[in-house]
Amino acid sequence: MEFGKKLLSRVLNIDLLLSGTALIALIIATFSGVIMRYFLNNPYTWLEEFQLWCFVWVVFFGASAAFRSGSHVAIEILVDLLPDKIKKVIEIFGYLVVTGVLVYFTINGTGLVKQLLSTGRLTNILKIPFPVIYSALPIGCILMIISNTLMTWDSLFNDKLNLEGGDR
Amino acid sequence: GCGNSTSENGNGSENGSTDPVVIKVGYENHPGEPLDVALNEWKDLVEERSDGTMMLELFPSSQLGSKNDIIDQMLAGDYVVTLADGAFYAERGVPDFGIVFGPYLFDSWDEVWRFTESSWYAEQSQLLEEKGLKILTSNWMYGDRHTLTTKPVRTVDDLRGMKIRVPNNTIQVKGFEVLGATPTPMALGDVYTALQQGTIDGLENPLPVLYNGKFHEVAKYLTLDGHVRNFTTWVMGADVFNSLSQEHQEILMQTGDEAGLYNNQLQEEVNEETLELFRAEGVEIIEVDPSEFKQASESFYSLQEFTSVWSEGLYETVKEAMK
Amino acid sequence: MMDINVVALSAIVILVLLFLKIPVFITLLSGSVVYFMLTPSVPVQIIAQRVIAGIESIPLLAVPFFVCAGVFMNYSGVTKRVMDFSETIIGKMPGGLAQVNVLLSTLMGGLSGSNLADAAMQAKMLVPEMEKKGFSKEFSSVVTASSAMITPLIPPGIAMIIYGSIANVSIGRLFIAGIGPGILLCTSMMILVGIISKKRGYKSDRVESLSSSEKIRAVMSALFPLMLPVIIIGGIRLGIFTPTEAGAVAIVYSLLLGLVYKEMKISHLKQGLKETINSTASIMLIVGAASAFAWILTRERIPQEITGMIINTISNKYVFLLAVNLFLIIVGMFIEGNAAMIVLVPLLAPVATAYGIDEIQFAMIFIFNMAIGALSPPMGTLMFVTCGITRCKIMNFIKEAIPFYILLLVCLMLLTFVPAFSTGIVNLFY
Ligand code: NA
Ligand code: NA
Repeated sequence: MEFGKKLLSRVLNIDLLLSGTALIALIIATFSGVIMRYFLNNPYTWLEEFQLWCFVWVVFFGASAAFRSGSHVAIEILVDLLPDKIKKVIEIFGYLVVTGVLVYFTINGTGLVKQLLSTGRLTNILKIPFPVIYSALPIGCILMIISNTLMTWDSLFNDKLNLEGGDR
Repeated sequence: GCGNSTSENGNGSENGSTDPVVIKVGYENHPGEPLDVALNEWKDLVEERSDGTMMLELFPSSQLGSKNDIIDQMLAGDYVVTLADGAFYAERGVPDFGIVFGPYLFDSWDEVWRFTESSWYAEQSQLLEEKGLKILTSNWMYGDRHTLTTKPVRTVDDLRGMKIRVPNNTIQVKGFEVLGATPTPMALGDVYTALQQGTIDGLENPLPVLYNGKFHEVAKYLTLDGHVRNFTTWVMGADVFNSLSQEHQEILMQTGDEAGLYNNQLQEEVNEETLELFRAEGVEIIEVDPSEFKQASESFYSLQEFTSVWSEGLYETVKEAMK
Repeated sequence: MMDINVVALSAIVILVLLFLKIPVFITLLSGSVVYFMLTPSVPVQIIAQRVIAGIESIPLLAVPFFVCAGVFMNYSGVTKRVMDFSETIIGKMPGGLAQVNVLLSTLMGGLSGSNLADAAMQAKMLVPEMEKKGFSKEFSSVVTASSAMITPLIPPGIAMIIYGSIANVSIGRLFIAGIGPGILLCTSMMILVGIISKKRGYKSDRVESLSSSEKIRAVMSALFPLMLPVIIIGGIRLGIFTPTEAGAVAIVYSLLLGLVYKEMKISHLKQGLKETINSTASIMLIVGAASAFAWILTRERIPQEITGMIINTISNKYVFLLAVNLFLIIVGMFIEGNAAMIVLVPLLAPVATAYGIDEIQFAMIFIFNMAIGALSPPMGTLMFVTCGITRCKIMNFIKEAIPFYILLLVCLMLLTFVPAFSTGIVNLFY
């Protein structure tokens, strides 16, 4: 069991790895872009599209890590006032809404990626296929579903999973 | 244009027999620009000619999204029309179309209009249709693209090393590179501050866009180099277009051309007015010898980046098509 | 009529789910899901496109950059030194660090236009320090979020650039005009913060004054950190980098200081990146989800129709101004400020001009209203961003924010009925 949890947490941290890499690339590209433009008079013409690519990856891959660290904001007041039993019912209802919305986005995000794949759209200068950039959305949604399921399980049954990734 | 009350039926489908077909038109230009005024004319013409069975709803200022977003929306099957030109079509699978954005390709607007009537242009439009995009009308003048800078540019040499903001595409980047400038792609929203602080030295666009962006408050020299004669087209998803009735298809294309003529007349009037406004607000207008710029740009058409994707002898073919 | 009902239903779904402890971004998305499911003529993959499009914006890059800079400043010892320095300077003032919070936003306004980035950075950097000094979490969060409203008012600001190019108003004049409301807000907020702090006894725990040698030591140790704003403002003014890029420069500088002070370890670096990712993702998903819903409202012409109704039913200048204020605050709660501006300015600005309202004054009223909306439920992005980072409960935040809402309304009325607050400084310059 312990081993399984460890493995799970390793696999899950792929999202942090991907968004972390994108964040570092974003910072380095932007900072070196300043130097190239001002001091060497030779700006990166691809900077903007690269920045936006990284940004999309940071957000959508980071989104599931944010679920595990409990960073997503929610309004708790009403639910916290309710008795424990109703609280649990609402929590399960909330879980179903989150999963439903994320499934909807996984399906339609995949639809968008498929469309971009069939029309062969590339970024203007680096010629990066758009599916590479935008597939972060459906993949991110799947990772979010998994992370949220684990967190809800944890909260409902108090089985401390202790998954890494939080800043709490 | 004072279009009467907008349709409450936002879905452009032709389900009920009484519901009009509603087509949404999304574009970047702001209300009041000549293009927007001409669009309102188009909207009125469509409504009038179709007896209210077809309507255009206008969404200026990129309200429906960027040009690329809207093209993806129409490819997905939405009832939406947008404004696009050769540089975009090149990236949508018809590479030869990109050449229309090359520097100093056309010597006059007459050449442009002969070119859009040519059989070469019809063939390319057909290729685009196979990629899912139907051009409705091609006779819209977007304007001559000029350069607005913080230091005067009187000759090609003055451009050397100047950081000129260009839209984020290879054709426009290379178009300024061959002139010796340092093309610097940047989001248009950042340009005002970047000019003010000297991060960049200039930008290029047609006069109305330069004026509306208020860039002349921070860049006082306008060089009338006319590096691109920018005609534009209105485009819609081919599948959506084919789902319209024959009558509606014809009305849309015909009134599009009529509104295009109205637009071109308006553009020419407004160009003069805009130049006056620039002058009145303290901008130095610099007339240059276009032949010097044209000569410097010739190497553009033999750049490996383009010749490797273009059909062989494209430049000559295109030059022939505009005769 | 049917589609308007669909939009109304989407809005109701959002409002209900919002109070069921469901993540805010999911709630906002669920409204869009309802719309797309009930409007079969709109191709479904557009919903995904609109969320991504709301995120893909260069000015918004300021969010990850300034969050990351704030985090690294905490780990590198920069924050601590700046705090010690601030305390020696204003330590005896009631609500010392809260005042620093307000002033810092005003200063930050001089470099960037992003209120989200400003709030996120200060929520990371200042709020923990404020809590250490005895301020409540709620108060610290409210001060951070509401003072971030000042940032877009002080030039440069993206809102002014957008407004100027849509309404054909000089951007230069708008920049200068923003200084008036910016200072008004800064001063009145400092007074309010002072009053509340005095009442609650928020003050420095230091009893005696520092000796001059201690003061010099505090200044010396904060010398390099204090160079940061100088480098950033200087860099922007000299055209070395854009306000967005300034965030990346701040990150690199605080990393360098972390090396110099030897306080930053590799593990801190990893932890800092993790924190940045978590905060950026949670902020940007709310922004993306809100922008998708704004797209739906715009596409269905809801704000356009309501504006038409207001314009057609009102015939008095002051009634018009009050109605516009009320309407814009409500719009600001549902639609991000710049998106709302693109839709509404072309409709409202000409009417304002027809009533003889100064174009600069109207622009300031508009921009100020949008800022207030960002601070209030149900969709106030500033509120969610700040609470997300400080982990302050939304209801406690709203309760604590009441005096600040009142202050903002008073300022709004001053702007609305006393043109000099917006046009005074402009008239001095032009
Ligand atoms: Na602040
Ligand atoms: Na600002």
